[in-house]
Amino acid sequence: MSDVLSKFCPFFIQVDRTGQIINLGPSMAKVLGVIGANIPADTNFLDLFQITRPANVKSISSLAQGDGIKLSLYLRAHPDIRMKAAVSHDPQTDMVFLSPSFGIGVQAAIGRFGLTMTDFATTDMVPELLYLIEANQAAMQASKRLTLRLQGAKAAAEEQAQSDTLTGLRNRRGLDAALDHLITHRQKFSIIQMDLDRFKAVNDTYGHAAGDAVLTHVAKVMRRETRQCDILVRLGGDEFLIILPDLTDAGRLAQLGQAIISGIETPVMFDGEMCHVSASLGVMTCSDTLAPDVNHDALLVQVDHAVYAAKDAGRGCVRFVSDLMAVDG
Amino acid sequence: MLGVVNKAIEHFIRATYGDRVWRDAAQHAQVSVGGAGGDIEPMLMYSDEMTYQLIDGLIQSTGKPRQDVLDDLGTFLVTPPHGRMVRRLLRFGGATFDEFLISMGDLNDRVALALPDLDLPAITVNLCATDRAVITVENRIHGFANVLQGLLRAMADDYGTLVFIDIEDCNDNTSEIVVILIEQNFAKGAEFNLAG
Repeated sequence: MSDVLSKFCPFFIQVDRTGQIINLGPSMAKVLGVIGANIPADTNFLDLFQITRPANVKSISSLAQGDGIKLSLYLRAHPDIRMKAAVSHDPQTDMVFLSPSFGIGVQAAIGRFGLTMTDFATTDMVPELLYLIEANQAAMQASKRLTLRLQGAKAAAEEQAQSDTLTGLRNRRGLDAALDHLITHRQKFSIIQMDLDRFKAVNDTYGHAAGDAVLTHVAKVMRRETRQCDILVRLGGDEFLIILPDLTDAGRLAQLGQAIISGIETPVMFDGEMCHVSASLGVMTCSDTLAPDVNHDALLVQVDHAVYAAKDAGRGCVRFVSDLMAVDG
Repeated sequence: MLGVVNKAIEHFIRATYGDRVWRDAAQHAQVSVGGAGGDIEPMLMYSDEMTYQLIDGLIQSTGKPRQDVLDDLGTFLVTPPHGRMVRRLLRFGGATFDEFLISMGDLNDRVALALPDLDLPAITVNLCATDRAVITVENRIHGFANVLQGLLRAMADDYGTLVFIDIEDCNDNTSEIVVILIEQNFAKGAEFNLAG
């Protein structure tokens, strides 16, 4: 009988009516540190194990009555390793049989007690369970690494992007690339810089979503009023810029500036609210003789002055850098 | 083919023949080798052709016979340090080499639990006698039987079992690998700790 049990259920424990352990499966003997079949005479089951569920099982006789129940228990020497066990009472011999198993905590138990594959019944699912845990961990790790790499690649792509995500216009990086191209190819061009007027009020009153709707509207106006070859830039916030290759005629630039302003002044409906903004524009024309290493910032600072001149003149208008020179001079 | 196969081939080539041969093979298969960690993603799918081209490129670059290269690849897959994990997962198949051999019949099901996209050819294991097993492999992936042969030999070594392994019979659809167990406990074998 116990030979069969040892093979089918190597963790079994056989207990008599007094709680004395009569017989052990070879693997349970390993767990308890019992050498061979030499179970010390006064080894009482309830001294070694603490039963946690069901609560009413506190003695061997209540255990004997609990034939067929599922027991939760742990070794008093290893309270962190939880076990469960099926209980069977043999009325002929008045013996109680238990078949403990480690359940989901089996990995910890294997490490603690130095168990090997041969300590489990040949049909036990433990090796498969362990296999699955480790195989899944490896696969998850590989997937996690892939995700991290993709996140890194995405961040790098955004870093290198030359366009603004909200409006689809170019960003500062895109602007620099365009300026470099024009200057090295010795092309004349003009720069229109514009700051929105009353944009902060829209943002503060109706929220950022309304502000975004206004910015999108401005980008639409810029696209509508300019040529295919013009370079449209959002520098950030409510600052925009247009680079116009080969167009340096002051009359046409002033006309274009006015068209953009009136387009921007068309109110934007957002969530039932009318959002009114306008724009102050600064314009600078650049000849085809700029030095290839000219500092972009130095150019832009000049246009910036023209924008401030437009603001000073009451907003919603266009000022030329060349006019500033005349005034300054 | 799941990228993990190509990644394994990359590790194999770099560890065995060096980065120069890897560059040759990668170029042959039109795999870019620019990125810091290489450009094959283990968890993404690639065409089967790419895998074959990597092997062809390796053979061209080294001039080694195809069978030897594939056999070595199989051994590499389960030999630490690179093959530590695969070797460990395979050792869950059984406490002894003959149990392990039988478990190879479940290899596809086991693999599917962890990597459903790694669609390996079907393997059936027949224990004809106590000392003789015939492993039948679907020929869906060219050269797979040769890789498996190298892998089985290395695993026998890991269990400390003395075996004779040969590919005896090939037809269009299947290959047969014959394993003859000469001595189950020939050597002590490598440690296998269930707890890892």
